[in-house]
Amino acid sequence: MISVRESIRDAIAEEMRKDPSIFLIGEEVGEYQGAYKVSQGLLDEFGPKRIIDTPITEAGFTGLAVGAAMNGLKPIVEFMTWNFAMQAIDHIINSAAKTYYMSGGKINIPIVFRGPNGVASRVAAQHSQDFSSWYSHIPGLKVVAPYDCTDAKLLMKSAIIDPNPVVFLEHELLYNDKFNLNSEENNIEIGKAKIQKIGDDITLVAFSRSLNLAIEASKTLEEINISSEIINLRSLKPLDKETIKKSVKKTGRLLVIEEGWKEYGVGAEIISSVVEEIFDFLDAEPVRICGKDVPLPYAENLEKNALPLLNQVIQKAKEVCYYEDKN
Amino acid sequence: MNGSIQEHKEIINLLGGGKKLTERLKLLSNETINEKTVYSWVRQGIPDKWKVAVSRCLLEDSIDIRNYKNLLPPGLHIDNLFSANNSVKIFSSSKVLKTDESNLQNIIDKDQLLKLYEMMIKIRRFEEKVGQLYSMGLIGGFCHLYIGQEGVISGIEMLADNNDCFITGYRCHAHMVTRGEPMVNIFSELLGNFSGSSKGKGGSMHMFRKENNFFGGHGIVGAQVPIGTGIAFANKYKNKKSVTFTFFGDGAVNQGQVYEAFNMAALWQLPIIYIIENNQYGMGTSVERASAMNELFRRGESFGIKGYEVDGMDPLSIYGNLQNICSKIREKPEPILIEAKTYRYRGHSMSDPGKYRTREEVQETRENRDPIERIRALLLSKKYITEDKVKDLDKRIREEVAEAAELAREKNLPDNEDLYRDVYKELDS
Repeated sequence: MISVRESIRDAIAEEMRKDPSIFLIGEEVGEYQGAYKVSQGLLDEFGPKRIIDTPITEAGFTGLAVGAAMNGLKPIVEFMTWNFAMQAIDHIINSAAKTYYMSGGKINIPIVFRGPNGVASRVAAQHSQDFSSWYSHIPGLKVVAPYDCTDAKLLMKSAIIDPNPVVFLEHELLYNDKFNLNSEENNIEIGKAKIQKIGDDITLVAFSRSLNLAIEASKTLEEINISSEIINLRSLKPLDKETIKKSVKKTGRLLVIEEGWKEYGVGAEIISSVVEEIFDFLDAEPVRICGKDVPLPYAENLEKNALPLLNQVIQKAKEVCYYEDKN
Repeated sequence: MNGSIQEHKEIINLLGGGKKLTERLKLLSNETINEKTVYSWVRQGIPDKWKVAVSRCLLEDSIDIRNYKNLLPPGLHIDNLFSANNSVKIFSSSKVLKTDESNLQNIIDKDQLLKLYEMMIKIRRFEEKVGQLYSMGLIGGFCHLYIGQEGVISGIEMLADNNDCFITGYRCHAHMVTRGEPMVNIFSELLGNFSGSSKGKGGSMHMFRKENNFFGGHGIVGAQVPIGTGIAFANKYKNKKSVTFTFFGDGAVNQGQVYEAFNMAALWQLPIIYIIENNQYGMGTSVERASAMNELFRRGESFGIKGYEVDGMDPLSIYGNLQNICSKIREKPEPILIEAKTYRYRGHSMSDPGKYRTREEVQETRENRDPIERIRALLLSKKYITEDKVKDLDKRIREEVAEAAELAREKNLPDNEDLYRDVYKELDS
């Protein structure tokens, strides 16, 4: 068993050993060993030339990293959280995502932007936001959101090797979780989802920490003979629509779980695609359980209710499967 | 004013007179200074940039500088002098580089001077042709011409080699020309053709010539400054001796990310020359209306970045004054800030009615400061070339430009399938 935090670090270290043009840059990544300790030990192994502590200057170091990528290096940019990347979003979108296209394929930007995304624990609205749909909206970016250690490690390796800008959305509340590395997988292609669990009656689509809800809900549903198929998206862009459609064709039912806000979200995109492309296979209305459309509150009870809840997932799944509680 | 001069005179005497003060200032500052300059302060007052250094001398002699209310430059509190030991050197490091005509004219030989002239005339004719094509409705969108500013890029090119890196904002056609992109490709790009520098996908503001280290062509004002800093970072990382020339305008200097970049460049001593092409107007807003402190070459002082003002209308002044600075950076990387005072004759873009300045102002600059006329006059006065030969040269360039434009006008629009190409680079297998 290994933690998600260590899996990300191990992937970075393994790739850095192979390629001297890879470096890690961000606030507190070096001497402090990472604000969330993801880069623990990397400074010792690779030294300050390749593990670079920056001032608090997101727009500056993001732009600098994009320039370094244009000039032959492979930067991994750590945002202490993705919330702070809003200071730098111009460089992620205008400088990194669009340059390959605008240059007619002359200049590519091999860069990884990474850090914790989504809700943390009791840190209120400015430090708790899911940016999945923001970045997944942008042509030229690839976006991945790992769930377990296998996802984290192999997706990080793919992200580093990729010649395009990759947004790597970690989850602070998953960092400590431990999983076995799946020894049968040695590569995860960006853009491919994983069937986390096979089932027949309903397709549950989730990514990142929402997988926990899907897995828990699935166990409860099993007890009442509703068999759910769980899709772990792994990548948000490109989105593996084929895997989703194949599953929905089989189950006829679709429920998407998303920590982010409901309006204009990832769930909206998935459901639209399914409705547009395989409407006739649906046996019930596709549904989504999302974060509520409010800035995330601080109070414990409010924070909890602002996020997707297990009983909401179970309840909605029962509804679309036309299951009626006996009592 | 007279009161302050009187006071400064008294201070100079207190500090042992001009000669002694000169010696003391030399020790305190990394700038050169001579006795003659210090003596001139007795009549003219102590200039702002030396005031901090002079204040420190007073402090060293236990003279209460609070008696001299005209000494400290605006914005600097007396406490700063006690806290920052090194700030004196920083504060006094920026300066205006004067053009010493007689000296500068001799630093360059006939061939180089001709090359310089040809470079500038090529840019001007190119941009004039772009303006024509735009007026004919053949070029779409935004289009920013470089006419008037030719001396800046050309002076810099005289210092640079192919390993040096360049990056600029949206006024980028000239940089493409001097970095060796065939003119036909640039015209083609402007016309939206597949044969264009960016396959017709970038247009006027997004052009690159990677083989000669020109990294664009950026449409977001100021964004090229951290990117350029990253290009310099990569050169240092790879132990390359290249200098990165990062161009931006007087409009961009008030973007916050410019100073984020300055800070990192100074912190990590990156081999970069920042060039502010101060053409006096950020779109329609004059420097005076946009910048609280408009000695832009001093904008790096709080990071310890030395700044120099040069006459951007005189490429020889750029070349002559920056030669040493540039070679020093190659040996020992550090960031430097240059403010090239220049002027654009045309509007900000093609749709600019130019209501914010007078016709006379433009006319006056054209007549008295034009960089091309300046070099043409020098070529003739040195008898490097005859009037007839200049005309021949001009004619040849004009023809080359016209020919490139004609070639580019042969329509070859991108295929509709190209819409979806170049969004992502394929993985190398």
